[in-house]
Amino acid sequence: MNFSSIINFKNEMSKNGVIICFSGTLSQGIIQEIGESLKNELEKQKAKNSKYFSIFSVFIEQTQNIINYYRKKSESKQIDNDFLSSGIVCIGAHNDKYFVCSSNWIENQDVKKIKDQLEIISGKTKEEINKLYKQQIRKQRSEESYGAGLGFYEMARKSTEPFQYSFNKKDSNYHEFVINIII
Amino acid sequence: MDNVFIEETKSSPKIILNADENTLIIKGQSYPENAVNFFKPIFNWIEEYLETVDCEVILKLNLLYLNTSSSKCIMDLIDIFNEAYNNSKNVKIHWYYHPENSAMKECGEEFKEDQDIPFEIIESEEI
Repeated sequence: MNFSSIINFKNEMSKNGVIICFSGTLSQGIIQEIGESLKNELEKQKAKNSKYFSIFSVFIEQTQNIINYYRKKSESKQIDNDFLSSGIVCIGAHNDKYFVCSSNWIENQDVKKIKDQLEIISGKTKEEINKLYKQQIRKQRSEESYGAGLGFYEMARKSTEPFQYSFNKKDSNYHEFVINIII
Repeated sequence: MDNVFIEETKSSPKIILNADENTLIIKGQSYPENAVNFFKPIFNWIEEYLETVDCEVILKLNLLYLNTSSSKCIMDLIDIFNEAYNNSKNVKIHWYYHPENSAMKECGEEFKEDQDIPFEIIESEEI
């Protein structure tokens, strides 16, 4: 990356209100440290208390989704490389709202399931999502998943606008999944 | 039975399980990498404890943040206590929240729904 590209990249981030951006291998340790940094930044910005917890919550759910997905995949079979553990997460503020955006690689076979979940959520009211959340939290945990199947519902409960997301085909095995949550 | 004391970390809560003093406290943030593994020994201890305890027991929860996997664990824990209550154990739950943390107040109210066990939601600057 040449020097002027770095300047452009930095300016783009500022222009878009990015507070924190991380690109690389995500781990619990990294998430904890970014989480602490995020808290400090939000305190500096005096983000209203309810937004503060919502932003933090969405950040944790998005990043732990990426880690859990990678762990599930790496335990079920040999993965050629560790790139599934890498992702990008961006948190920022724009027009009095905050955004938490992340991107990671997912296998083609998983696209439909995730897309269907997100489409279901997109069509629901807050009350309906709360109901789905409460139903899911009472269910037996799935053996297959590291999480509790609640992450997207929780993000929907905290968001103030419909999710923005996309699935972009990378090659014969993987898609790039991007999701943006506005708070 | 042995008492349990787990120090708080950035992503996991402080746990105090003391059968001698009948003190059960879970306090702090909870977003460990694997909530099921974290809470498993706590479940085991509590299940064993509830079988034999015969005095009043208050489960004190003072949580600043729960990721969804931890929320599921706490829900399951509350269900265990609720079942003990319905089996005539003298058990209660106290849910504490900081005055500036309305998210945790709402969280407590949600956990309280549909439970028979006495469940108090208490505003407190300090437990």
